[in-house]
Amino acid sequence: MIATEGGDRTSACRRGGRVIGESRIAALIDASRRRVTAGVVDSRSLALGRAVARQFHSWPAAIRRRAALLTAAVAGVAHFVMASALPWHAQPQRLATTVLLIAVILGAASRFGDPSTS
Amino acid sequence: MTQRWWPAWSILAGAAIAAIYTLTPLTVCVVAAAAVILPRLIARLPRSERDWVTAVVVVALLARLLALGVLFARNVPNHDDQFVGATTGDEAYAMARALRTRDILRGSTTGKYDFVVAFDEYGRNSYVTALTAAQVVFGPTPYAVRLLNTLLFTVAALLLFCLSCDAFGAAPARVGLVAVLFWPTLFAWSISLLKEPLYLFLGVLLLTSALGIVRDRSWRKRTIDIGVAIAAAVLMKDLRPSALLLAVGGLTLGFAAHAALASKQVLRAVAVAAAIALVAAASIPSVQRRIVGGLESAAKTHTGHVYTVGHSYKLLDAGFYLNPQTPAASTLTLTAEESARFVVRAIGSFVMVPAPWQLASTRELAYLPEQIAWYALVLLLPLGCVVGWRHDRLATCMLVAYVMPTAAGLALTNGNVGTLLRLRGLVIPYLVWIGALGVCHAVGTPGRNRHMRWIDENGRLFGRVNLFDAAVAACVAVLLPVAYGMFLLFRPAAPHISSVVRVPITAEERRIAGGSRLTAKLKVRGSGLRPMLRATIGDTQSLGFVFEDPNSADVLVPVVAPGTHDLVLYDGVQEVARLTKSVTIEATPPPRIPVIGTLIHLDKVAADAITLGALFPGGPADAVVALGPVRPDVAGRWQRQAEILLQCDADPNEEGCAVGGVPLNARPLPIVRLTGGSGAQLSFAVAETFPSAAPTKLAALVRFESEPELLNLIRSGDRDDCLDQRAATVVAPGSRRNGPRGAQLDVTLRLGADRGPEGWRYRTRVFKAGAPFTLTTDRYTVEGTVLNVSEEVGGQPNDRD
Repeated sequence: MIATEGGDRTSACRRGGRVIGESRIAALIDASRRRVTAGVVDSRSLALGRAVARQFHSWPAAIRRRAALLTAAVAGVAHFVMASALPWHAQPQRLATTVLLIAVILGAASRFGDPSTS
Repeated sequence: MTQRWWPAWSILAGAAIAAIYTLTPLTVCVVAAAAVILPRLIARLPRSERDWVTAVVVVALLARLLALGVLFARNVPNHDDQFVGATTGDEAYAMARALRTRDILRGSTTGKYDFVVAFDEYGRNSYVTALTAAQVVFGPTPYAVRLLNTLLFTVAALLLFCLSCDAFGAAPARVGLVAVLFWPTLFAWSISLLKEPLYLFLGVLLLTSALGIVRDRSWRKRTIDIGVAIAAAVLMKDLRPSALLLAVGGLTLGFAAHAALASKQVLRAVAVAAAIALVAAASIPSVQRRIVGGLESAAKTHTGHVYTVGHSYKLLDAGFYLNPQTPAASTLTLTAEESARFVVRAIGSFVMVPAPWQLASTRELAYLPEQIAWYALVLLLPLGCVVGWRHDRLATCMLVAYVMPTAAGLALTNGNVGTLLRLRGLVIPYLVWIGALGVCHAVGTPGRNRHMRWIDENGRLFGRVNLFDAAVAACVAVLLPVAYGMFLLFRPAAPHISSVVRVPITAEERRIAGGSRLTAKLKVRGSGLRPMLRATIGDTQSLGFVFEDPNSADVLVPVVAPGTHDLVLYDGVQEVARLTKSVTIEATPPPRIPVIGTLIHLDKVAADAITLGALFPGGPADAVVALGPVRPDVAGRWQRQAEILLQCDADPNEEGCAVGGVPLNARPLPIVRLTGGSGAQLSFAVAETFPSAAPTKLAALVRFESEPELLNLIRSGDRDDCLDQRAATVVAPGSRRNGPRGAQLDVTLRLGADRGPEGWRYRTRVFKAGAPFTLTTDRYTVEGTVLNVSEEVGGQPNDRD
């Protein structure tokens, strides 16, 4: 719903927000929003992702660290090799993209590796 | 996924990530950046708003991903190593330029054209540099850049939502966020390859950090805001011309407006001071000149937009669009009144264009609902400003004033409907929050007092229909049909040509041709014709389009290659009507006649450079057949007598030879304009014209009667003072004797004559026995009487005449 309970400073605006929130158009938008978000929340791929994250978080911290490092190393090498196999005109700057990939994986591991931040 | 197998899982995950990343590295980076930035932004919101905003942002992102997926699927047949993934010309230009520069940097360029495009000053901006950097690092990324732009746009929208939520409350902010994320034009350019999402992102960063500098209480936050503002300003500087000036101007205007609106007394004082300053500035000529000069410069840019392909609109008086010119070549000047009209029309156009009756295509007609929404936003702005001023004066002033310089710049320099619609998107994301505030207030106000009994406490009309639903329904059910009706009723009739007929040229058209060669006059009949149209015959520009009424006009035709041509009408550079194969130019060349005269007002070099033969190779078929010596003219100039075979204008009415519309039989004898060897214009003072047919050679006996000393000067070989081959030549002077009025001398002459209705003519005068004759050489002039004329046959006289 578009209407909200707090934050408005005049009654006209608050009332306007409430009227808009009770309108069919707002209800239509809200229904679409609920349907899409429900679809996203219930999606199998997200569920799989959550399950993987749960499993990952269940590992001891030392193993998680080593797994992240190994993943980054394998991804880096594999990307370099795969990028080299691309046609010349499609190739990225392999060194730069490899370093970037390793940084992204390590950054993600440090951010999402801790169960409290995920 | 057991812990025992962690190395295997890690290797598998690494390989999978590498495969996806190799396929589209920038997409992975954008997703990673989104995963970091969006949750942080949402975490800044009040707890009650987070779920709602997250859901709306997810829906918005999914809608954009879906649109990109459709685009990808549609482009599948075109995916090759030349693909740039563009849907518009500007996108194609930016992406193609980035890829060409990438080829140069990688040493894989295949042609010089890559260098021409890569180093072209036109279109150079920091977005192209950033796009090039992305292509160099990540490889060709026609879709990932769209994702990056989506992220930039979404972040900008969320920053503005935070600002609006803090300033005006949650309800207007929610309305504003839905409007910004799903406004059709903004939706389209948020997933484009254009620079607008980056420009919006940097603009919003600058605005929010500027507000933060003023409002944040901790010095640490202020320092961060200052850093962010400087970074945004530096990155924005080269994104588009005057970008930084417009942004800083907007911020200054916002703070100034905030200060001026502090109290009624301050506002009154500022208004009086501004009025006095305006009157004083307008009364100083030098200031006036500078203002008009600036407006002239804006008007030139505007005309440049008008002369681009697409649907244009005009802000200047109609006469300024007659001759298409580039802004750099334009010599346009404005008076103070014309400037004022230009400014008023520009302001009106920014709000109104495209008015429903100006919509010119189905695509533009599909834009009509968004245009109605824009009108509604403009109408709600004053109310939103007043309400916003009561809620949060600074935020309201900054949001409105920040876009004012941009809006003014766009209004004054634009002339293309498509460009205006796209660039108007630069101001909508800022104004929409004020409009949303206006909507909330407008919907929330009726029914609060007891005077409006038909609206209940819950904002329902007669207790049944929600007020907001009723307002939207009214827009859809009333405004859209009314707008469509206006489109049908008032749209200008498209020009249409129904027939083209050749009609006689009159003296008036010769005058209009202004010295240019006029070969025909066409009567164009049709509908929707307008005075300011241009006409071409095939690819040749007409000499003039003479409007008579909406159903009839004349087209003056210059020299056009023989063949069948289309007649095409243009409004500026837009083709508006065409009648195929409607003009036929016969291959018969127009006549050429020998004309004797003097090329006058020459400089010495030009006078010496004239030679026998074509006067201007490749131009009109004028040719010099005889030349006199170079002689001094007046005022240090030079002249040269010449006989020139002049090409006459087409003469369907047999009115006599005319050159460039100037009849050669006019009295006094005319001066015609010819094209010289270097393409320069030459003035040729006509002295004598001859028929185009070759002369007949005659032998004649002429008796000269004068003083003996004068007759003694006549010698064999003397030639009449005429450059043409017709010139009389003394063959044999006889013996002198005394006559009743002085000495007499019978002289045999050989000359060229033309046959006329009354007999032979020599140099325009009748030439037969008894006719007077004057022989002029550079030594003498003597008068006599023709005694005998005979036509020469094989070089011998024949006494038939």
